[in-house]
Amino acid sequence: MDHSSRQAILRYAAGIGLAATVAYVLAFPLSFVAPVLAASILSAK
Amino acid sequence: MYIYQYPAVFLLLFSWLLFLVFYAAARGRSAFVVLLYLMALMMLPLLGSSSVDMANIVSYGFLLAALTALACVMLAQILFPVIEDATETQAVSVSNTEAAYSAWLSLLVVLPPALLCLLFGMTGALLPLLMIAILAQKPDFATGAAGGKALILANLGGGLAAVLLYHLILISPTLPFTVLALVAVALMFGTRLFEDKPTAPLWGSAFSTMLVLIGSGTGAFGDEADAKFYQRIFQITLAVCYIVAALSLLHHPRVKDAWLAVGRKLSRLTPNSAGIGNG
Repeated sequence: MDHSSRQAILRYAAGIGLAATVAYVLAFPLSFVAPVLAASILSAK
Repeated sequence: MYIYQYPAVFLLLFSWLLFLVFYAAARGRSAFVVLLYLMALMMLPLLGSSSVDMANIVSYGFLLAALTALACVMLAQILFPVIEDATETQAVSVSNTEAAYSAWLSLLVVLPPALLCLLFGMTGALLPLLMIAILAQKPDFATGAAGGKALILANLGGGLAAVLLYHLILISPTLPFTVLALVAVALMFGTRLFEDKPTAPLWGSAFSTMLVLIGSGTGAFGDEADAKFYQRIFQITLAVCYIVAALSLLHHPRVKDAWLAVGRKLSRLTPNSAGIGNG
């Protein structure tokens, strides 16, 4: 696995983790969609 | 809501918008934008049919969720910047005909369950409906025995991972544990997702399923827990089975000829004819 792939994996996990944290803390309606949307953006190669 | 009182106009407008979204997806538009359009198109008419207030709340929440996702992605980009690769992959160009064919196929799969839910006001079926719309974006992947089996297995895998994570979160339902557990699972799925293998997108699909189940089923992000959690897994499995069955049926030689003929007739009615199935 090359360096750019490792960066992409870390970026993917970090983005989802951040979105989940904000969703958990703010707890607005439909907040659970935020990590799903973040995963959708970050999974694009 | 005004248009909703005129079923024929609503049906035409709804179908046309769905077709445009699937067409944009087939032409390689941003997956994020397509997902936003699909979710809005599926959710708002269904919720608005029973309660306008509910539709307003969902629109507001949806907007906030999208902004949150964008902000978090930007932050993640800053933390782990994209490294410019010398061997950059080029975007796959899809012709108008292929895109129209794909969009028409997706529309044929999504429209029946969407209209069924709208007709009977089945707001409880929102989650499987969304899954059907999301999975139908790439109709070629789910066709054939191998593709269909892989898609079902991926979503079952996502469901299984969600069950495990859900029970772990129940042991310690705190913010740090939930987030760290999610990050750990994201790293595991991400490793597979960013491999150069044809099955890589399946891992993304499985992880999205897991996120939806965990997010909507736990006290962390949702309203209800245990009882509805397994019901949601069942609903998503049904949705995936429906996608695979519908696409397999539409790819049957006789059925395929019939719906392609209808698509060609419809495309002749529009000035910018895409010429479905001519390629």
